[in-house]
Amino acid sequence: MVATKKNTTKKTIAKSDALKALMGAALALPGISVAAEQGYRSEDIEIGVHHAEYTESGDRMTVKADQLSITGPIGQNFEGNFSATRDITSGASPVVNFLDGKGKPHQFLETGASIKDQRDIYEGTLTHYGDSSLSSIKLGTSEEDDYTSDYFSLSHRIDFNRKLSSLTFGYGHSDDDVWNSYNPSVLLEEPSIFKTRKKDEFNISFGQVINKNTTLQLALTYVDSSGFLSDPYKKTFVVDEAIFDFRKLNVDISGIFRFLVDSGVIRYLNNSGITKILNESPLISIPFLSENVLGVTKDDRPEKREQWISLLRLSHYFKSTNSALHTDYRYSDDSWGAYSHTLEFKWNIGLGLGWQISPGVRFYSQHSAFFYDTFFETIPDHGYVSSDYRLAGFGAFSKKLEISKEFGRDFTVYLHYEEYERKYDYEQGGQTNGDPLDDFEFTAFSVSFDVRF
Amino acid sequence: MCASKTQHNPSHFDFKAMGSPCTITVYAYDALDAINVIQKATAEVHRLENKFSRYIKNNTLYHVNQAAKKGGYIDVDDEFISLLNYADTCYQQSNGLFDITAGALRHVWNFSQPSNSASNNLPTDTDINDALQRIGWQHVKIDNNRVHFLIPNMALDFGGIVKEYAADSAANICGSLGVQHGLINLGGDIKAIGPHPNDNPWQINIRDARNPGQHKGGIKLYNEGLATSGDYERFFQIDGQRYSHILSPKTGWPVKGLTSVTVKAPQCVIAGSACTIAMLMEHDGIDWLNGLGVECLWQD
Repeated sequence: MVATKKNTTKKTIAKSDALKALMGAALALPGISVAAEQGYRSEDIEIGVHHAEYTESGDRMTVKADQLSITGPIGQNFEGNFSATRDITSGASPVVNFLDGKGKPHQFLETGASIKDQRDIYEGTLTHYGDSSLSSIKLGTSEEDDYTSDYFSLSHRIDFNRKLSSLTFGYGHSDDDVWNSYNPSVLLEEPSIFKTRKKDEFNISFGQVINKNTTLQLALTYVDSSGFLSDPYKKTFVVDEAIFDFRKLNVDISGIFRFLVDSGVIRYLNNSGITKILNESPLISIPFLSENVLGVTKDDRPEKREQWISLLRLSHYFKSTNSALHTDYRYSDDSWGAYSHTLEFKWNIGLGLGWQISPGVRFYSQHSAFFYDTFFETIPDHGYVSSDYRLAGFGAFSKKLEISKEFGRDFTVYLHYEEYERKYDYEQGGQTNGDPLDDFEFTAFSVSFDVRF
Repeated sequence: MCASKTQHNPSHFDFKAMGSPCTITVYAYDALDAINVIQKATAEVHRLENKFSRYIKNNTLYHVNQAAKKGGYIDVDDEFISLLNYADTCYQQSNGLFDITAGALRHVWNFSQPSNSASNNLPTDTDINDALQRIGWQHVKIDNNRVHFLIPNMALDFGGIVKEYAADSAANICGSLGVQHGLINLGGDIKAIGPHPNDNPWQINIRDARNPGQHKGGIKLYNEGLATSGDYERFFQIDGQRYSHILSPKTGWPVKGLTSVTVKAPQCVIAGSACTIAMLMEHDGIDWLNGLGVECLWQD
């Protein structure tokens, strides 16, 4: 250092009262007080508020969901989370496929008595952060007016190999009660049933850091479901069960029902109470008549289902673009035959200043369940029938875009947009039972916020 | 996942905020972690800029200054109040020289003129006296989260506080995200998060005001703050007398005495206000700094 007469440096050590006063005022500043206490972000209480909506094409479902979640530290090594979710589903779901005069199936949506389901989910999770382990226990309950589910899950992760590798074991169990909220004012509804089902899920997962920029995850899940796995609201059309083969008589049942729906006759019958009077009359049973005259048969599925789901996930960070690409491939084997392939790409791009943008695409292809068809000529030898579109052979393609922006350190907003398109002929590897009548699309948009305190 | 070693080479991020070139330097676990940390730190700097800048319309400071203009009152958040309390401490410790209500003088002295032509645009005594009427921290009262302006046409200016506070806060965020070695530099307002990974301090060279391109000396930082007051490139030459662009709220005139003061203090915000107070104290500034008990480097 060059010192001249006009330039001097001075060093003093003792802290003056003035400095103490300034220090005191400075340490009261929120941006400074945090570090002064050596606080860490995980010590904050986080509150998340999420709202999502989606609407399917063609007069089908609309879902609105709201979630509130609170996460906070408990003691030194534990973290607790509680979330409450309410979703409301409204619209109409396909009930049965009727044949037209040419033998082609058509969907029957009983819109006159549209569905409005409210589901409330409460979940609590306790997580323990060990030096090289992470354990959690989750308890939850989900309630609808025709369904309750109580569930719990346990998971334990161990890090080893200088934390470059990890192994996770998980187990989950759920007990469900299923019934139909019998509404006698709805034309094709069955009288009340009350059934139970349970599900056990075992999971093992291995994670490996391959190098500074690449990680790999392999996971295998086994799911065992048993009990009443049918859908009490779904029906399937079996030609042999009908009193006549209406095709031979050139009678267009689907046309008749479509006319009854479109003209408001069914709505009138349901709303005026005529359906209710008929359903409650001891002399007439609409479900019995519809089964034995029209061939409208109850959805009936095996009482056991086993699924093996394997996942391969590769994540790579690209330094040049500040981005990370996640690639997932999932194969699900299914004792019902509805096995599926899922391929998903998600690209997280950090744009700086708290902005992140994540475009993604997902492709799904499913084989039809062995007891699925749009309609049946006769009940198969195994005795199971379902025309639930979720068990059909189909493919689905979705495009997603997620944008998030952090405002300061305590507030983050997420926008999520998805376009989903399901088509029966998107199925890969040979078309199985399915039909364009179950094709649909939806767009979903959701907004959520995370606030830290 | 938490690796035990930090990067060998630090990650740098240059950006512009608060009217200055800024740089964040961190030694993080890996590049992804560095990006995460830098994003959060820059977000904090921008948050404070958006909230307290005089140049942004409709921000918090704008609304407060609308109330100050009317001579009314306004409710503000805890952070705003704690900054006002800090400014109050500076006012008390400097015997009223450090006054965040002195902004009115900026409109009287035109700083956008080239340094040597200011003498052509000297404000009149009437202008200065008029501005001085609207200055005075004693005319501001704080009652819980409410700020009252007892006279109209006042204005608050957090110059000398907010950029420095932003450096401290950004450094804190890096520290809370696990960074142990790094440096925040917001246009010369500096806060070290911790020394280099080999425990060597950050060596900050101070420019020589009279010999551009040369250094006047250096200050070592481990986890302290550093700020400099007196901008060599911005000064007045009035009748051959060199004036700083720092204005005295007592006389309404630019201060004389020191060309620049660099102060090292536990927090950047303290360094910033201490060097500003020293400049305002003119020839008594260095004695005051010595009495304060901070390391400093000055040029007159």
